[in-house]
Amino acid sequence: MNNERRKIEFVTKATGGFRGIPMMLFGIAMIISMILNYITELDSQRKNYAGKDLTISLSFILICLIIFVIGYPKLRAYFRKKFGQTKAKPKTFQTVLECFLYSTPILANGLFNDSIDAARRLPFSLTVLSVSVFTFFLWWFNYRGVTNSILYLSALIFAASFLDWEKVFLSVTILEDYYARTAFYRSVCSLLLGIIYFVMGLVDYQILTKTLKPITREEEVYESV
Amino acid sequence: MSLFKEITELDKLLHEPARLAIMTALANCASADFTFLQSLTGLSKGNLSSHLSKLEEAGLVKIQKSFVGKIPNTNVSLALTGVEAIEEHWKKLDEMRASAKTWKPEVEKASG
Repeated sequence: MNNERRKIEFVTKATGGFRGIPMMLFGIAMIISMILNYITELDSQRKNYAGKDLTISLSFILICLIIFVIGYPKLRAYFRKKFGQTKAKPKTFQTVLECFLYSTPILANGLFNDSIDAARRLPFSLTVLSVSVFTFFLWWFNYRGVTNSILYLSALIFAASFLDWEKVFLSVTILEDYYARTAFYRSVCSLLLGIIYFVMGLVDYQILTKTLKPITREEEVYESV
Repeated sequence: MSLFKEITELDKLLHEPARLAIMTALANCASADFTFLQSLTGLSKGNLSSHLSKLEEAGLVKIQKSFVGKIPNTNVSLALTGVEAIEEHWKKLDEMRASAKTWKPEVEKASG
């Protein structure tokens, strides 16, 4: 009974703000920016670092803008027609906390990337661990009682944080140069985050489409009459 | 009060599954449109209208009708009494769930 209640609460809140689709788009944007990141870093080895970071940030913002401006309004209109709409309650402390949680891995990724390279002697990867903790909190606040997929994802990332990433990178890349390996490492972190966002978006979308019964064409016509 | 008596004294207006789902959904948003409530409950348009009318008559929800372009749009939100009623109802259900876990036949006999 409580799970059903949680599911209704989740679906109602999700319908007011996002439907998983923006998260999926955000994930795709991160994956594309990862590829750009890798190409840019390889292309400008040992050159201006500030310039590189600016290029990456700008390209990510640009990709996000293009995807959201073109894709989001159309998808939103489609879902509104099929599943209706709710108006979200005014922002509360928990909403602010959730926004902070969503941006945490990006901040952690940006802050720790270089320092992890310098302190590789740690038995675990701080970046990957921070992503795992973020995913766990996200499950606790948003998905507990609704789905455990995000919890399993968090456990998987937690286990992955104990891998010797340097060895993994060396085994999967033929790049010998230090800068090229660092570029690859940075790109993999972005790719990981992109995949997480994409998976979370997909989970949201699955829950919504399974819980809500789409309004058929006949009913739409009936409603408009 | 005995557990079974508490169960029989639950507010039937709120405890009906479809109405409970509607009220729970409305408690988690500022307002919801008719299409959303229909897709959530899986009810037909007529059935949903009937449930909403009952809730409106009891003063638990507020219904606003408007037009989005040429399409009619019905928006439903909780009235202040509705907010209190659904909170109280879920609180009661949670308490009953907790006491049902520790319930023993002897205890029930002695008290009832």
